[in-house]
Amino acid sequence: MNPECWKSVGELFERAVALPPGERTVCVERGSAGDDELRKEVLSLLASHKALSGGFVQEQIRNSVVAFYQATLAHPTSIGPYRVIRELGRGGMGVVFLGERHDIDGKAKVAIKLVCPGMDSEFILSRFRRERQTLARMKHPNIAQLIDSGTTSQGLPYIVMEYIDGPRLTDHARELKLETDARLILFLSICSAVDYAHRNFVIHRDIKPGNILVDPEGVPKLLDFGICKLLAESVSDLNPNDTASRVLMTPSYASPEQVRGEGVNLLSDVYSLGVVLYELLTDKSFAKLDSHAHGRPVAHSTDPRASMAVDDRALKRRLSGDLDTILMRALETEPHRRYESAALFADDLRHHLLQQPILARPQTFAYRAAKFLRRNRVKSMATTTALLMVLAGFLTAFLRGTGKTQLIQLTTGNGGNSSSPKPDALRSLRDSTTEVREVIASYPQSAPLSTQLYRAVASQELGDRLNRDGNFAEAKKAYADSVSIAESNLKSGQDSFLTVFIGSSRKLGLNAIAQGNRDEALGFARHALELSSRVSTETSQLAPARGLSAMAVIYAELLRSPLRQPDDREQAISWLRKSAEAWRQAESHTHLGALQQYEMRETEQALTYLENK
Amino acid sequence: MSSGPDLTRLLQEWKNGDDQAIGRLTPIVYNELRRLAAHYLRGEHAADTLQPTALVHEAYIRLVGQNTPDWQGRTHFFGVAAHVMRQIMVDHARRHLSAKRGGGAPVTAIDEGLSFAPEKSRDVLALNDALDGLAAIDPRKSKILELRYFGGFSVEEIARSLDISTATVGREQRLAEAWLHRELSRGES
Repeated sequence: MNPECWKSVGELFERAVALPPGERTVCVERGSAGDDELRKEVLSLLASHKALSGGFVQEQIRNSVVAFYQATLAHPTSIGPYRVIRELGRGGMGVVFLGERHDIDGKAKVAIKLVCPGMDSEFILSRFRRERQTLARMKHPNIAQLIDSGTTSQGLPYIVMEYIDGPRLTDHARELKLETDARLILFLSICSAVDYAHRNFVIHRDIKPGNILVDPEGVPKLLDFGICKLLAESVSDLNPNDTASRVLMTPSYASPEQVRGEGVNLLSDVYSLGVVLYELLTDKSFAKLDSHAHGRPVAHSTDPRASMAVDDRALKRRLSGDLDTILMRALETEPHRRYESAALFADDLRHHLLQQPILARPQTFAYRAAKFLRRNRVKSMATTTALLMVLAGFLTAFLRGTGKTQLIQLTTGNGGNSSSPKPDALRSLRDSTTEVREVIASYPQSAPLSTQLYRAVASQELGDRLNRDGNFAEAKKAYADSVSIAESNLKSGQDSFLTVFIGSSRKLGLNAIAQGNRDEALGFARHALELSSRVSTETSQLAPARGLSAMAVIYAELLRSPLRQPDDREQAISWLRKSAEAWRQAESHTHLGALQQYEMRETEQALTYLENK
Repeated sequence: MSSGPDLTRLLQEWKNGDDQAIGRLTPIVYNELRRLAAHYLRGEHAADTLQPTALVHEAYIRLVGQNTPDWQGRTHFFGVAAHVMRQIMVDHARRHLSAKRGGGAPVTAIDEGLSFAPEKSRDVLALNDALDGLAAIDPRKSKILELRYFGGFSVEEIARSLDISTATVGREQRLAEAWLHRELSRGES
């Protein structure tokens, strides 16, 4: 019906319906003036109006809504091959049941997470599928393992998780009155889980005591990746207005930037880990919810020093110093001032446990000397190269995250398995090298800058894996690809390209040494040095330092290889000196992040080591 | 837990035309509606006393707070709730019917409890189609019904929200209901 007609229908209907029922037909006959369609339409509507007892539509809708609620509030008695025992909890989009398999005698209990019936919108389903895919990749002793997944006959997806029958880590520690060291060691395993997730390109985003349970064997497990975020999104999505997650997260443990609704990255997890550590060490809650602030935590004004929260003298003493400093670092309001990864956070706790100097403390001479005297002797360093390669690993560890997520998005963008996948198929991951090759192949040819970066990082990753398998020739190609992609994007001015460029150049050089090509190795390092001295990036002050260290790494490696020549040691020392000098200069011009300070310190230590050898 | 500020912000984003916001609002609003529904349905005469519109009012108070004097925010919330309820029911009904039709695993008695009875699914879809049909020729009338019956708006609120007189709302609703009734009866015969 066209709008004109409909307007006439409405007008005539109004005129007629205002009259007593007996006069309506006549009115319509006259009013339609021979327009048969109009007459029929209005008469039929009038008939319908007459038949319509008050509240018909309302009743109709009400019945549907009530039936809907009744249907969706009912509990299932079984899900797939699992018998449902009871509901464990209900979250933003899913409901978790305790269950056990029908057909297996072992009767192992499992946690089954199902999308709430009625919540099966595409938005929710896609999130749920993502969680499923994320979990399928996660295999870590401190992460609750995915056991199975499938789809109910109603078409609702579910996942089956290891059921952790135990208390929260914080309750566990309090009940057993664990010593601080024991608590720290338990906490380190959670750091390891979070770091593992980060290295698998996943940010948890909801780390809190309620998500860290201790199983009957005493192993802490991190659960609930329900609102996790794949790393690439946080990188590519510069303005992530991810409000849903903001609502789903738990404010007391969320980082200030999460609460403010700003971008979330792995530093937000570092913050949440800090809150958990604070509570674990003090048995006190870190943030008090202010009921007048709509559930917003006032965390930022809380003193992060654990020692200030306890009364016990001995405990106060134990917590003050290193542990306070470490917590202050992890709980920095400004993300860039925190530990740059869960691994660095854990490293510092390990330093503390081993009575080594921690990173978080300003490195005053007095402090270092105190630590030095406390230790029996300086832990000997294996080789300079090994030391420097640890550093190279750090450099790319963060960037690597960016590459792989893109893959995940690309390979899972087709909606995943719609039919219920076999559990074993889901669990067995493909050969890793093939997987990375697929990632690289899946990148579009004419790609934006961010994708170019992913390609460069993924190529480096591929090279690492091939190298590890002893496939040096193929690894060389992959590293060369990485170098050339990064190199051709250096002009973009993004620091990340420089980092990848130097990292891959070093690796290319080491690869050449492994294949007996001394000159080629030095060639790669010189090329890296040359370019890094010309390049201009966001942090171009750091470029020379890194370029110089590339030279040092190659000489240090040559030094312990059969390709060794008499002055390699002098060369390595000389380049390390230059690099250390360049770091000092950079430091005087710009604020170095924790990672960069670490790089600088490692360079200095490598130099000291070589000089005294 | 009160999520006041975030919800208000989401409502604002939705109002400003951010289509993504509705997807984000959905779980929050729906969970609250569902929680309230569960509360009502627990009683003996539950099904008779449950009023969808009352749920929306209550959900608003719980999620946004009754001290918020912002009339517009409230209207938006009700609009969202109306939309969310309608959309969720339709999605669910559709998925359920297609799961039944689509071969695959038969619906076993064991998890039948999870589902909507098929005739209810068809009712929901018919209602939805009729509202869509009305929206195609007269969006405002369709909107009026949605706001009134899914969202719990009063006639005055609809009038203010659509910037028309209450008399117009009354008239339009009368015609819209007649139209809807006719369409739904057609399906039955």
